[in-house]
Amino acid sequence: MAPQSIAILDFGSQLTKVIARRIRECNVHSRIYPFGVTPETLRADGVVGVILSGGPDSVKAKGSPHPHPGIFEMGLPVLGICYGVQLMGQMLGGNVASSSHREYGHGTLSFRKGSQLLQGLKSPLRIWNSHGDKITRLPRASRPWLPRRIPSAQ
Amino acid sequence: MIEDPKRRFYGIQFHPEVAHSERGIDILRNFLFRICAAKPTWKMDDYVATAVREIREKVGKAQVILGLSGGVDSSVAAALIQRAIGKQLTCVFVDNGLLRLNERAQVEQMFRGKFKVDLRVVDASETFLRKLKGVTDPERKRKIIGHEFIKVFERSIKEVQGKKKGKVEFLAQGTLYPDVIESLSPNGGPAATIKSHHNVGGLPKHMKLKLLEPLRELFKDEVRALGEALGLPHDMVWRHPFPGPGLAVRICGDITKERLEVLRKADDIFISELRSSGQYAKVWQAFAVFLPVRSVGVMGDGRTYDNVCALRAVTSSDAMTADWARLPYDVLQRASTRIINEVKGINRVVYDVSSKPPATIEWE
Repeated sequence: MAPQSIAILDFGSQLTKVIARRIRECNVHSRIYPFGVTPETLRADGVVGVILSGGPDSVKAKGSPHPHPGIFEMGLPVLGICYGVQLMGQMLGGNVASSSHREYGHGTLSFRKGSQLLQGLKSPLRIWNSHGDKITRLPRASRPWLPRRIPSAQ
Repeated sequence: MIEDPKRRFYGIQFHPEVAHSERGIDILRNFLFRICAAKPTWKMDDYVATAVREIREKVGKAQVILGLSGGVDSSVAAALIQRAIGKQLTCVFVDNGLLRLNERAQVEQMFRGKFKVDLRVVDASETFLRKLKGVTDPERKRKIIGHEFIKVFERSIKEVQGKKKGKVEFLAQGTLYPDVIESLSPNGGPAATIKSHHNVGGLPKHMKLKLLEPLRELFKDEVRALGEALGLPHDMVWRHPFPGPGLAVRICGDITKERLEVLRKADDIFISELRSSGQYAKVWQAFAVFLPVRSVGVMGDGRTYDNVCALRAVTSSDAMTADWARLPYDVLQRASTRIINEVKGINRVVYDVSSKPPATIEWE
């Protein structure tokens, strides 16, 4: 039987393999898939969660890589990182725009309590940004976990 | 960041996986354990099982050929693929005449003896040395060696093609994800510009071989852990990197058999002194260099006029930058005394105290 596995869909970020490594360091099996992988393949491989990686493209660009829409219908948790979250913004009914304010390097994230993803972490958090687009309208039913944004501290 | 707990969709605009995202690993852990309810039961040994299954699926009944260099990456790849498909794997080891002392014998012993690998050793040393005769320019040395290697390797593939039952369809390589990513600078700009490394390349397209790269998702330290899980000896798995052109780039100037002999002995003494003093594991890379500079010495009652041997040892985490290793004086002293006493042709030993940049790790 295939082991419990986390699927990482690769949208071309140089850091995709670092995500895979961090997951291995947590003693969980992970595998990198081409971004267009089908839900059937993921199901057959015993996937229990999906990560959409970052990537050098803009989701707005013509021909930019998109996942199979069925990925979002599998009932599995999905974590989008950078390009990945913008894909979610775009494909789940929100809107993404190019930002005049590109963010690369260190930034700070402030957040309020109650987030599952940030459970056990203290606000504010020093983070590493690398993106040029931003989500301007959120997909339905999702909520921002960010009451105020502090500009990159560079 | 956004979160839809009902549908279990989560998104972050930053990179939790890089070291300079504070507590990024905790965010990933929350996702894995709280949200996906994954269990932390996976080990490197399990990687072997998964990789073996995948190699078998991918290869089927085809034959696979792998260029074994004796380095960590190609050795681990060979041991892993051997475990998956046994005699469908043929390893080719090219003796280019530029290897370290006993290197070929060690590789033969380990892979034929312990791992029962179908290993073909091609002794092309005469050809390589003939082509390199009189060549002093480092870039030309590298080009000649690369070109000659491909010629020899291509010929070996054809030979294997004729002898084995199935068709050779795959070229296996120990390519891995460049360690350079770990050194990503917080101020270095977008990740997309980070350069990637290429392992072999250069094999002619008309060979139409598919690549089999079972280590490509792993980092160097993981490859080492995998090597140990596969039963490769500790010394082999923790071996320092060695350049493709071998000792050719550690002899400044002309490459001759005599110089290679001298360098092999000196290098072996230096490395064994590092091992016995416990320094070997503390440095990234260490080696001897032959300098065709003659200087005067006094040995016994006679005057000598012989070559110089430079010793180089560096510390580094990724080979992109390196500092010269602060080896204990007594280790340097023992290496120096032994080299001058035991290696005919060397009467002076110097230690390289340059860092990279501006110098490089290798001399050529």
